[in-house]
Order: sequence, then structure tokens, then C-alpha cells
Amino acid sequence: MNKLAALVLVLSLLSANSMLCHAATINSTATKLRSVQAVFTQEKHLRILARPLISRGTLLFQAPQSLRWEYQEPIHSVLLLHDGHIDKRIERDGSFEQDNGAGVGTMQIILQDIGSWLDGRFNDNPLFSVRRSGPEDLILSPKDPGMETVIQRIELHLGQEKGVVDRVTIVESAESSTVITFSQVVVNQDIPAERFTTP
Amino acid sequence: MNRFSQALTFFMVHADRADCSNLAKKNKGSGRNPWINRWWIFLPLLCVLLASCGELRPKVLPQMATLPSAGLADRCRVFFPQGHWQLTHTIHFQLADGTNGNALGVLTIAGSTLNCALLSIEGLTLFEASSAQDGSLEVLRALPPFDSPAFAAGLIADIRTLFFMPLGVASTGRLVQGEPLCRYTDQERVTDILPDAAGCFQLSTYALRPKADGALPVLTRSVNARSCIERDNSRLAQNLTLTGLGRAGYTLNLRLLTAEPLPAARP
Repeated sequence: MNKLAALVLVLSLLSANSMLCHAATINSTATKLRSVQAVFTQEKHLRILARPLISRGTLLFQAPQSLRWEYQEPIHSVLLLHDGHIDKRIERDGSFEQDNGAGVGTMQIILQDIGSWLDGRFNDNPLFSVRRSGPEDLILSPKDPGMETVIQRIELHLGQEKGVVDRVTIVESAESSTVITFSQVVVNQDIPAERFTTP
Repeated sequence: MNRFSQALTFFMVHADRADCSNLAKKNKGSGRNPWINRWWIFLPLLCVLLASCGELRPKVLPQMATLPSAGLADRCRVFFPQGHWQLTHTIHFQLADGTNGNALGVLTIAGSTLNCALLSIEGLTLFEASSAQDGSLEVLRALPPFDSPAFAAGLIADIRTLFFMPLGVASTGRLVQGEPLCRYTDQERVTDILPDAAGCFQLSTYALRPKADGALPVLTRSVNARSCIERDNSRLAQNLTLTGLGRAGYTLNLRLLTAEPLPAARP
């Protein structure tokens, strides 16, 4: 479960950093991105579900390698990446406790990639190949066929705001997918460092 | 008591006797209260007590005084959602070796048929399966380490324990202590439900042992349900703790997130 949980975190990071990547590559006249803040809604679709399972949270990113990926609902949990350290916490009975689900080793690899993503070197991603499926759509496909049994593809939809992705769809199978929709995106506002160190 | 604690107790008792005689000689005529230095003679007793506490004897089926009561049977039945439902829970699991983690559980119920999925907190589908009324099981997706047949069977058994009326012949009555209970007996197990426990219910399953053995059924799972809420003629527990006993013991803590009655056509 650790590796799988880590994989999902990787995908979350990909989603988060996709926003940064597109801001960097598409909007070439934009000033270099220093930070991103956004709210997200995550819908889990499964064949057995009459209605999708909804999760909500926030994303904070600050260059070069600080991330806060936080779910407020249905389970309050926080992933913190800062200064090379990774911490995943989950709230139980009113206090945060360490969640052992995150594969720290994998996360460290991803941390090393964040710099290249920030520079817009999207194709440098070791896990996925990227192709454009429409003027506002990109598809990421796993390079490793074995990974397709876990994730078939990731679809990115670019938003109205230039260079920002507003929706990510993680397709597990024909009948199972996760749609993450970003909103209230704010770029280049300074974020206090403790936001990346304190749950 | 296991052999180790027996051996330890034997050693302590005999060491105690030997040292007591020496101590008596040493303190004879000294005028000191010998008990001041003899506190340790209670160590064997303490050891025996600790050994007794540490031993985990399997709990067996308690005696019940049968007392037919349709009202009581109804009170036990109401804890299990009737008809078609979609339930979602947060799940915190803890294994005997200390391993623990969190997940989301999704369950749809249609009569005796169930569909279930186990998701990571981030939404990845770790396990998905269907189980029909006849007990058949279809695993739709299972990522390692959730891909063993034993895991699938165990998970479905846990779900059926938590959310489905027990199978078997039903009887009602009272325990020796006076608590009312419903008892369901089938060919493999006995299930006891205490409908008045802590405002919700307690459930225990006992595995039947071979008749030749003559031994009473032994406890295999226990469920503590708390904070029941009324929903569509059912009383649903907002918090459930299931403890699986035995060497590969584990605990599941479930917190109800949503409970939605579904149209009869689904799933």
C-alpha cells in the first residue's frame, strides 16, 4: 500500500506541477513562477457509486521544492514537502498523527524532478509521456506498461487563465476515474514557510 | 499459562523458599523486622498474576437463557440497513504487528448483494469487488498487497459481519448478567448481538468447533458500534470498531461519512 499511496501522491504532485509547467511554457511572457495557491475539488467515480465521492482541499506550492497538499474533506490529511523533508499527517480525534502510508523514498525522487518541471521541461518526466489531444488538452500516458494496470492515463485540461491547468482526470479504468478541479488559483504570492512545515 | 511463565513461576517459588530460610537465619535475633527485607517474597505471586493477565485465553460462547421475543429480534434487525444503500466510511486499520494505515471504504448494498471498494485517501482504487447473495465473490480490481484471495475473502466476511443480518437460526434471550441478546446459529458460526450496548450495539462471532471436540465455540470477531443514528427505518452506527482475533489479529475503526438510500434498481 505504501508504494501505491506514494504513486497517488506522485500524481497529485504531477497535477500540481502541471499548473506550474504550463504557466512557464505557454505563457512565455509571464514572469517566472515563484508560487501557486489553489483550492481543489476531487470527484471519485466508480461503477458501484451512485454518486461520486467528493473530497476537497488546498494546494500550496513555492519554488523550488515546497509543497502543501491538504485534504479538508472527507479526511483531514496533509502532505508536506519542504527543504528535502517529507511529512504526511492525518487528523484523528482532533490531533494530527503521522501517516505511514506515504512512500518516502519515491517522494524524494519526485522532489528531484520538481526543479525540471518548474523550468517547463515537462517531457523530462520519467513516468509519463505527454501528447496534446486538443488545443486545451494534454494526455499523460505511463511509459511503463506495468503501471497501466494502476493508471491508464492522466488528462489535463487547460483553463481560461492563460497557462493554468484547471482540471486533471486520472483514469484508472473505463469505469473508474478521479477528477480534480482547481479553482481560486493565485500565483506568485509569498507563502510563509511554516505553511510547508506545520500541519 | 504458557510453559515459559510456568517455568518462571516455578523458579521464583523455589528461589523464594531457599532464600526465606537463609533470611530467617540471617535475621534471627537481630531485632529487625524481617518483613522489611522480605518484600520480594511476594514477587512469585506478582509473577503469577502478571502471567495470568498476559495470557490470552480464547473467549468462548457465553451461556444464554432463551426467552422468545419478537420485539427483541426486531431491535437486533434494525442495525443492519435494509434495502438499497450507499455507505462511505473512513477506515483506520491496525494490525497485530503495529502496522497501521488509513483508507476510504465504499459500500453499496442491494438486498444480500454487495459491491465494495477500498480507496487510498488520495482516491486511488486499491480494491474493488462484488459479492452476491449466494456467497460468490468477483474481484474487479485488486492492487498489491490487496490481491490475495485470503484478503478478499476476509474483507467480504468483515463487511458482511458489520452490515448484514447474521445468517442462521435466530433465538433471543438474556445473558447471565441479564443483558438481552439475539443469537444466530448457522453451520459455521454463532453470532451474538447485544442491542442495548452503549446506546448502539455489540456483536460477537464465535466459530463452531468439531462436535467431537466438545469445546464451546470460540470468539473470532467482535464489533463495538457507537453513536447510532436513525435513517430510513434503520439504526446506523456512526462509529464501528471491528476486532479480528487470533494470531493475525487486527482492528478496523470505521467512521461513517455518508449513508444514502438508493433506488431499488441499483446496483
